[in-house]
Amino acid sequence: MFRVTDKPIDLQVLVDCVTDPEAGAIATFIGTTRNNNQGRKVIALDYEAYPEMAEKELTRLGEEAKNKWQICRMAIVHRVGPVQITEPSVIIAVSAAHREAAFAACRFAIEEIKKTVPIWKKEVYEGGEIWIGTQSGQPLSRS
Amino acid sequence: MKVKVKLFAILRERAGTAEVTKEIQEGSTVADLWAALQEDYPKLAVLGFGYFTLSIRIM
Repeated sequence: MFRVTDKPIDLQVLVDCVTDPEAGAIATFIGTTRNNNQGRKVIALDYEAYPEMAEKELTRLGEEAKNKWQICRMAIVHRVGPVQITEPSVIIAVSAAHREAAFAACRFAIEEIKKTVPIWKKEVYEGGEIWIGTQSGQPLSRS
Repeated sequence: MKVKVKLFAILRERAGTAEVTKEIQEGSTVADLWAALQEDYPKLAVLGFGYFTLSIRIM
């Protein structure tokens, strides 16, 4: 399951999706929205994706992880639209026979998502807003 | 030829639209298209070139 959704993400759905009789470990990562960034107080967050391409790219990441590590299954769901502070914006679940591969693939996935998947984040903070993303992970422009 | 351009995030906000259909000459480059878009949507002009994701589909 490699998906972009405008609904809250349910961890259990991802865990169920990667559950596998050959797995001895399931590693999960939850990226949550925090109330501050680089000294600014964030009051709201809004994610936007190029959904067709984002899902294609997430699927490709899953394939790449399978080539690198001995994993059973992987699932990634990324949220779009407004996300409340403390809510998950992305959840990754990986099952593997052994924990090393599960942890490594999970870590790989979150790092790569930030680099290559066409999803942008708008941070609204006191006194302005800023778009973050477009592959570099760098702020683009203050508006 | 006609192309359909999808704009995202800050580009979409600045242009005030998520999708643009544009007539361009055969042999045009992405830079040519970007320059034409900046003429149509002056607010894109301050963003420079090289950082953004556009989806361009030839119709």
